[in-house]
Parts: sequence; C-alpha cells; structure tokens
Amino acid sequence: MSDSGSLTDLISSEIFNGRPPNLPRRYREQAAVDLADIQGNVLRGYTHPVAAYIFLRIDDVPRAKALLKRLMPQITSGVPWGDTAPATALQFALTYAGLERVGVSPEILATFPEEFRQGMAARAELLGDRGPSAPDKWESGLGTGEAHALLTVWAIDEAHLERVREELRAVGAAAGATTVINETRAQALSGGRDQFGFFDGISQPSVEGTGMKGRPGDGQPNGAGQWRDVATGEFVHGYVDEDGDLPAAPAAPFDRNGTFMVYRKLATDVAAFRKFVQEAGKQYPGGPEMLAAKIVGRWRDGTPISVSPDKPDPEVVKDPARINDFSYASDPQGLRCPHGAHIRRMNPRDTEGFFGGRLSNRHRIIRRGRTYGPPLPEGAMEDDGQERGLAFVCFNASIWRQFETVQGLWIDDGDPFGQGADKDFLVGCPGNGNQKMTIPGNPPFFAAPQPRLVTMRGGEYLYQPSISALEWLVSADR
Amino acid sequence: MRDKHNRTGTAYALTTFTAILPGHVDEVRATIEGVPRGADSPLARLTQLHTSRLQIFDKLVYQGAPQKYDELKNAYLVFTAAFDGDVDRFLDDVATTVPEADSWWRHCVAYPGLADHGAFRRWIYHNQLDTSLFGVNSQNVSVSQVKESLAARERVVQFAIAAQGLDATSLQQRFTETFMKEKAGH
Repeated sequence: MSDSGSLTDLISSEIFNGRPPNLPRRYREQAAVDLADIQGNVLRGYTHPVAAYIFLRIDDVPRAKALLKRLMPQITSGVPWGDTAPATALQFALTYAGLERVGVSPEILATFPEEFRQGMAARAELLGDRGPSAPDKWESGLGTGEAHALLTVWAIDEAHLERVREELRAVGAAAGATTVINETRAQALSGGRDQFGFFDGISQPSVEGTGMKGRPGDGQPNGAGQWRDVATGEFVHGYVDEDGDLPAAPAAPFDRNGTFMVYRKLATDVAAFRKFVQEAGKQYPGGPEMLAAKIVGRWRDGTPISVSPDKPDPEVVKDPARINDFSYASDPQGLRCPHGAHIRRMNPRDTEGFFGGRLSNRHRIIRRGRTYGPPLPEGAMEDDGQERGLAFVCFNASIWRQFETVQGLWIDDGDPFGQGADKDFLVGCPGNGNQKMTIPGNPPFFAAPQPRLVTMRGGEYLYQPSISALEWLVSADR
Repeated sequence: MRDKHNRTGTAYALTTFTAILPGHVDEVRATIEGVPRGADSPLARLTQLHTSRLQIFDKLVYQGAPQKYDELKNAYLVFTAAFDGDVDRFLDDVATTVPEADSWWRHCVAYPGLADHGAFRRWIYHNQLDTSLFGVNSQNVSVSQVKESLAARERVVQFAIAAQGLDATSLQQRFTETFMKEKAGH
C-alpha cells in the first residue's frame, strides 16, 4: 500500500498516527483567528484511527452540565498540538432541542436560523431524503427531537475510546445525567479510502487566517489562474465572509468562534456499485475503471480525471501541488470530467455558469466525515449483509446557504449543471427510475438507470459552540 | 396600449397592486403562505402561465447606507404573472379555473368577486401598473410548446439510453420502430 515508505514509516504514520502515507501534511503559518476558542476539528482534520459519534439525550440538566465540565479538558481546540496527537480528542455540539433543554433563553434561541430550528428531518424533501432514506426509516434517536447533543470522540485506539465511553456509562448514565440514544463507531479505512474504494477527503477549502497553507485547488479561483483562501466567516462565526461582511450568527455567546455542524449517517451499497460498474463498464469504451472514475471525478487512487483523464498517475497523487490543482473552465464540455461527476457537483469551482467561481464561493463546506463498518472484501460482488458507510460531517456558517445548497440543488437536482432531473449518480437519491448520468464523448455514454448506492440512516443539524461558549453553558451560576 | 410596456415576444407580464383592507393584512399573509407551490398550486391550472407570484408590500427597504424601512400607509397585495397570449383571456381563465383566488383578493379594497368576469377584469386593470422590466425563460415560445419539447427530449434521451451500443442497422430499425410508429399513431 505504501510503495515508498519503510515499515517503520508505515507504523509511525498510519498505525500510531492514523495518517495515511498518501495524505500529505499541510504547511503551517501564523494563525490570525482565535484557534484556542474554536473547537479543534473545524479547521483541521483529525487522523486518529478510531472515532465514535455518540448522540445523547439530556435527562438531568445540572448533572449533564457536570458531566460536560468533567469532559471539558478533553475537548480540543484548534491550537496545533505538535507532532504527537492527544490520545483522545472530544468535540461537543448541540441540536436546537438540546439548546432548549439546557435552558438557553428564548431571546437567544430566536436568533438561530430557521433550518436549524426545524432540524434535518423536517427538511427531508428539500434534501432528497426520500423512500428508504426518509426520516421515518431512520435509526432510532435521530430526527425525532430526542437527540440533544453529539459527542464526537477521536482516539488513538479502541482502549482509549472505551475510557471515554466508560465515563459516559459511569457518570452519564449511572448518575441519570444523559442517555446514549444513538452511536456510530467509525474507523479510518486503510489508505484513507472510502467504502467504494476511492482515496477520499482530498479536497477541502483552505481557510483564510487559520495558519494552514492551502494547496493549489483547495481555495477559490482568484480570477488570475491561481487560487486564494476562502474567507474565514464562511466556516466560523465572528469573521468576515466571502461577502465582505460578518456572517449572520446567533446572539452572544454563540456569535463568535462557533459554527453549524451537519451529521448524516450514509449507508453505502458497495456491491451495487461494483456490479453497476462491471456491467455498464462492458459497454463503456473506457472499461469499468474509467467509468468508475468518470462517476466520481477521480481515479481510485485520488488522481483527478481533470488532470489525468486516461489513467491514474501516482506522480500527481504524491504531489501536494498537483493532486487538487485543476479547473473546470478549461473543460466546458465535460470531456475530461463530466458535469455530473460527484466532485464536480460537490464543488463546481469555475464551471461554466458559475462565473469563474463567483457562484460557488458561498457554498463551500468543510468535510470531516469518517467511514464506518468493515470494508466489503476485495473482489466481492454480492452484499455480505454488513452495515457500512460514511458518517458524514460538515461544518459551515450557514446550513441553508452552504450544506443545503450542495445537498438540495447540486446533489438532488441536475439543473445547475445542465443535467436536467439527473441527480448525483454516486450519492443522490434515485427518483422515478429515469435518472442517469451522461458521460460526454463522441458518442456520449449514458450510465443508466441510477442504482441506489447510498441510503440515509439518520442525521441531525447541530451547533458546535466555541470553547468559551461551552464554558458559559456549564457554568453553574447561569 | 397595455401591451406596449408589458409584453416581450408572446409573453405578457401582468403586475397588480391591490390595497388590502385595514386590519386584514395578517389574514392575507396566512392565506398566501398556505397556497400550495409548484405543480400543486391552483395557478398551475392556467396552462398559459410561465410564472406567478403573490406577495405583500407593507414596507420597503431603502437599499443604501444606512438601510432603513419605509413603512407604507397602506399594505398592498401584489400579484404578478407572466403568461402567453391575451390578457382578457388570461383573466377570464383565472375567474373560471382558480376559485381559490377569492381567498386572497376578498381582503382587498373594492374587490368585485370572480363571478362577473367583466367586473373582475375592470378591477384588475384599474389596479394594474406597467411592468416595464421582466424576464421569462422563453419569450417567443409558449408554455405548452416548451412542455412538448421537454417531453420530446425525454423520449429521445430514453431512446438513446435503450439503443446504446447497437450497430447501425439495428439502431436504424429501433429508431424506425420507436419514432415512426409514434408519428403514425399521432
């Protein structure tokens, strides 16, 4: 898997650190944002190998506050931790029901935006969560108003994760403070791949002032053939956004260094993907692997098809300056990367009709998801009945403007890309059976009908407060 | 005359400001918020309609610095519609096929009801303003022509998917079967 590194390299990078050897580090510089007050996972990705998404119902408010107070030292901020990651890193976020439950005043609650107050389940139609993905089919505890908080636990191994879990049992449940109502254990798959077998998590917006130097392609096109960082306020409240203004934020103490978090547990049908690619690939002139790459927009190893349309290129993947450096303006017909390809929909960059990126810059999201469940064994063409997928997490200053635009207009509809009623072929919810994906060429190839590859298992909209707002929440004298 | 400022190609844009009776604003707001949107809208029965909007103007925002609200002395129900063909015909169709229109206009000053088509038309024209600037997606093609074209496009796309990979002879045969038969059937 690591073709260049020694065994020692592999152990130190992947097993101890969780960082896949093919994931290049980002350069650092002086930060201009208040990293110490922003919860850590917003502006940087964690590479801990195991994680758990634990949804809590708050049964007793004072006791739940005491529990949170105990956990506070483990809640990490955005301050860089040097070369050694802490054994556990916690993040804490609340649903609207949770903010109500802990007694945030109606005046403050009223300043949260409508989509957040309604919650994800109420927005299902807009998001394309229909049929088997509809809220009435979700796992228990999600989408019902019962979930008050999400504790995300990152750990260097299962044993450390268990310690936090034990604390929740002993202090949370035993004392009647909180009840775990939904839990998903996630672990990074080898080589940073997703369940479909693609190197994932490559493209993230580079954010102004964070001290993390972006790679070419991470930010927004700057109009001069290069890239610039995305304004901080697109992802964290209290900073200037792409509009040159402070983003609409909830009232103090939630007006600064906090952000909205979207959680979606997405089950993936890997066997259906493999079967589709194999069958349709017999007809597609480029064969199954190229068809898979056209659907995603990258080859399995992460090579962008916009950079290398004919074959994966390990040299590109190894080079931080090239792995994400491409533009769609030079490919108006989609002959390299189809307009309907997953990555072109998720982040259209400077695609025709997006005015050189001026219509994509306000719809960026920071993705912090993790795969869950065991991978389907290599070569298996039938489902093994195991639950697997992606615990999708993203951060944005406005759920409506950012996540819901991407999910509702770019994944669940094809119009913005001239694709009619066709949805994102990889992750979209197939509708009436007429959905397809057009792969431009001479002649074009139609991948059809769209199989259901992703099924929603449940989700929540959350607010992830700043560290100081969390301290305010747990303070007894309120 | 009316056409001069309100027509682009075959599309006509109607703009009406009808004054809302004192004390009725909340009820009108609740009514128009409850009108189904899209294909379920009662206005969707109007086959010549491109787009339509119902909204309330009770304050206007000054779009400079500093932004401030100008409260109006009277609230207006604003109805806008872009449609194909003749205005009289459109208003008669509204009166005939959209009885729900009573539920929002009955809160407006001097509304005569829908039963007397002539009175309804005169009331609308009395409250009409020139539109001057408007946009429709297809200014020289009627809504029904657009729908027919989309349906034809969908048939061709579905044919292309089904016929993908056929050799030239089979492709021609399949094309003849699918489209010539369809033509003969029409």
